[in-house]
Amino acid sequence: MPRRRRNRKRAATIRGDRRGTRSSALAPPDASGEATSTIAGPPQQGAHELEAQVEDLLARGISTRALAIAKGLHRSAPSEASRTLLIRSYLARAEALAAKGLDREAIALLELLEQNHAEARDPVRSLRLRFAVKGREVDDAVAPLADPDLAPATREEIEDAIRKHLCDPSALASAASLPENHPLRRAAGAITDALARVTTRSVTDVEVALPEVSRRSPLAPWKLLVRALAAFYRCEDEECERSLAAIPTDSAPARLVPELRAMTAAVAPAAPTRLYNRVLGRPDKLRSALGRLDAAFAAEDPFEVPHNIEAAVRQVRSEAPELLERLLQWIEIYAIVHMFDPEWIEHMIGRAPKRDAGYLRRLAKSIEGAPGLPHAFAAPVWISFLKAAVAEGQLASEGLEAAAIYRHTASLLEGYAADEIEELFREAKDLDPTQRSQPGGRRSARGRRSRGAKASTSSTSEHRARDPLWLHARACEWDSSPDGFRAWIESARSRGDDKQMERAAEAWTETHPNDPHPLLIRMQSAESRGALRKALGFLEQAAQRNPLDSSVLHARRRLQIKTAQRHLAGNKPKLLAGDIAALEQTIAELGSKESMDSHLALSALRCAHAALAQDPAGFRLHQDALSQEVGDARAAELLLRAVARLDLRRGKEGAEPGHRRTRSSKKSAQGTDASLLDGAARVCSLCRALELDVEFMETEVRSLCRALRGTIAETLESGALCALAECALQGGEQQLAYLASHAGLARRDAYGARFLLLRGRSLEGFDDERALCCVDAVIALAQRDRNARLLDDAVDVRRDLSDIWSEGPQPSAHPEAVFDAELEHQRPPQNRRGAHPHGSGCPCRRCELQRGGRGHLDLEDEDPVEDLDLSVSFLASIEGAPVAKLQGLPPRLMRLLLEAAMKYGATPRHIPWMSVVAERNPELHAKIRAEVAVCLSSLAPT
Amino acid sequence: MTDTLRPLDPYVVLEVAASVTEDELRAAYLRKVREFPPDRAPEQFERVRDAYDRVRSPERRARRWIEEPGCGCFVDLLDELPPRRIHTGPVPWLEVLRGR
Repeated sequence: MPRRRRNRKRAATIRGDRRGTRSSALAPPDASGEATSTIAGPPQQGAHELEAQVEDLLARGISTRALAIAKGLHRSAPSEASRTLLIRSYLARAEALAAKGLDREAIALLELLEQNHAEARDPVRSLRLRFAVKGREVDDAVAPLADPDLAPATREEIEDAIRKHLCDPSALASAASLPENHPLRRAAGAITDALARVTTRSVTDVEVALPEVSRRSPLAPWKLLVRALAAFYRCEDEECERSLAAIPTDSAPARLVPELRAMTAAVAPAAPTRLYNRVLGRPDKLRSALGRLDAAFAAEDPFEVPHNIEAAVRQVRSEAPELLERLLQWIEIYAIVHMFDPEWIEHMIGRAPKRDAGYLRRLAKSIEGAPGLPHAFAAPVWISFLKAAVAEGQLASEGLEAAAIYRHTASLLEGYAADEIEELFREAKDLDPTQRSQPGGRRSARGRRSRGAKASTSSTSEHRARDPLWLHARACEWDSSPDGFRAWIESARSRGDDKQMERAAEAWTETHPNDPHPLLIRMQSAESRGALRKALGFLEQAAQRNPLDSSVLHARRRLQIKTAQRHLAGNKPKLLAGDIAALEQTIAELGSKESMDSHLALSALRCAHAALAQDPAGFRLHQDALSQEVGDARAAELLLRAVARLDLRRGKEGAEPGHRRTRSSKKSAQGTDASLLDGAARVCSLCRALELDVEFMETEVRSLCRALRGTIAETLESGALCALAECALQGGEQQLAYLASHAGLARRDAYGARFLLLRGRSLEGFDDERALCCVDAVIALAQRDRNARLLDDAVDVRRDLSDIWSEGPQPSAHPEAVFDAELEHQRPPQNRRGAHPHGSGCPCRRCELQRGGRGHLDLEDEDPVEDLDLSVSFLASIEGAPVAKLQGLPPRLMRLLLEAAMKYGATPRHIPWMSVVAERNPELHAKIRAEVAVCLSSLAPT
Repeated sequence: MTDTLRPLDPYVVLEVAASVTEDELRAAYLRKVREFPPDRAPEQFERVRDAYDRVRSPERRARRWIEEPGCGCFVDLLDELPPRRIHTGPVPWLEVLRGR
């Protein structure tokens, strides 16, 4: 086929319009511009309007339609203007084709144009040069440059085309039409090499200096691009930007400027380009695969999880293989925490992940954060982590880091008895893959052998690591900070282990000989054992170290009062007088450091001394003085009972009963509820500071409750109100504490969270769910306000309220709402749990059974019936329930139910239908039923 | 947070093994500071300083062991990918110039 016909056919093919303008576009322009086909625009439109329309289309880059209209216009009303417009439209169309990569088609179209319109020769030549430089025909385009006598205008035109449109310097470097030593060819070759170097490894500017490329060279913008790329890969973004800014905007390399600027920008573009994703390695597909895996685990969907695990693993393998190990580790951790069968997951991912120290640390933290698992399950995993980290050389076996891990592990085990910890470690073995026994196979046999070899050496230390006190002791050997000793002592105190407390304090004194605090702790320990002489000895030692320490002075005052109490109880007035004198001296020494009403205690002791010395006048005198100081006779009695309890009891029974009672009742009659409340609050504050128990009489409680229900409490200090509530709780007066907390809550002051905690404590045994809600809200408030002391107290209360199987603290999302709700409840709950009134309409199971009905099953009102039907109905009542809701079940039963949930539940966190368990695993079903029966039979009647 | 600003594993940032000694750690930190001086590469310097700050003493390392979270979302794994500028060779760059 002749070339011209071939080109015409190609052009006809390319110019085809899908919308029906094909015929007009296909028709080649003849010399006169006549054509037989109709134009696309409306025929009745004027020439000017059509010209304007073509101009508009060209400006908008719509070349196909512009060409069709221009051709129609030139056919219907040929003129110089229409011809010019037609030629421009053809050129625009050719450019559009070239922009789509259809260079040959564009050139064919230009050839047709050149044949039919001689006027188009120059622009066509220019465009052909451009296409040639841009495409693979550089050789032909630059050939004239080999001629040293080339006209400057032509040279300039070619060089301009190179500067603006050369897309690949390697094409110019290999242009055979230029001699090998031609400066342009050599420069292009150097740029090609430099470009390859900067995009394949990190290079310095010296390595890509490109002396072959002069500033005036048409390839100068390429030199700048190479420098920008070199700086980009060296992460020198400012240098990169300097080079980019120097690249002329109309040069070919300028097209990469926005791409590079996007890559160095802090914010990723909304629609990143292919180059952006390729260079910065943005793993979009991987991100979506991981997102789907997150969703599948969140939904705990047993069908979606495996499918998405496979997809994510596949994607990581292809896009970010360096993440594969971490992904496999996370998958196994997720499986463990979400109670999927880890062996099943391991089978699915093809192999076990590397269970290194990092893996174990993440597992431990994930268990701590899992809402359905007790935090203490993480303790054995932390021990495994420590071993692994030491083995990997990440931390020293006996250093500060190991001490911190030991202390953290001990903190997880706080509140659990030794047998509970044993149970926890047994249960947690299934959570720690490094501890889990592996059935069958060579690996298992090898594992058993290696474990057997190590068992003898590690079993003792592993067993010891289950004892929080041992963990604290070891930690203090490696890290002798006072806080560590304090934690050890607190742990021993919470376990009631005086020997350990003593040991911890001794160790503290050894490492910090000038610190009086361990001696004060030993003093307290001796004091609590009743060894007051020994306690005073420790106090003296502490005073020698720092006689002006206020804690020493306060401790001395407290101990002196205790000693006085003892002498009072021992009927030793002379010794008591000495104690009073010593106490007077201590209070004088405290001076401005004294922050409480110590003189009230002194007055109470003087009063007691007078009674002991059979001195009615003195007793009357001191009692009146005390009443006046406290402000209320009944409050003064409260203090006398707290400070001098034994003496007054004796008084009631013998020596001065009539006298004292008469005066007391007389004063009581004179006092008001307001003065009692005020005085009692002061007395409670004092007794709290002196660690004295306050014993309330029934009439006092009634009066105080009456006062708290009114507006009298408004004048009371919040601290004193807190102390009153604390003493009420200590004395078992929960209703009084409840009302005091209500008066405190209503103030909405800085003590608000403290009063909410008191409210929670006052609800214990009445409404545990509400109590938990209050305590969780306090935890949230304490965390928010960074109030460590309140947080510790709240966590302690939370621990007392919950038990081994319950979820950990669930900080309330809206503690203020809990606060407001509690403020609404002014009336204290009346019925204590376990003291159920069982009235005629009582809906509990016991009452229903007594009335002859079958009764619903409520764990709290459960009857101890040794009837298997009961275990069946119990199991029926929990079918489908979330595992997390079954708090308070015995560990062994809980373990069996967890196993059933993992294997047969609708999700691994829901109790399955027992019929399903019975059908698929009769052995497990029988175990569960037997365990339920055992648990029910062991319940005491309520 | 952008890819370049995410906190990375401090040992990855400092390009040392986790079992490195304190002297080696300090040497690695100083080497990185020389590589990314604060006046020329403030972001990278910040990242290096933060990484060193997290692991420079046993107390801080202990806090890191205990306080840093366990597994987050799987998507968070991508945070562990170091910011990459992949050397792709010249072809992808030239393709942009060619309009492909």
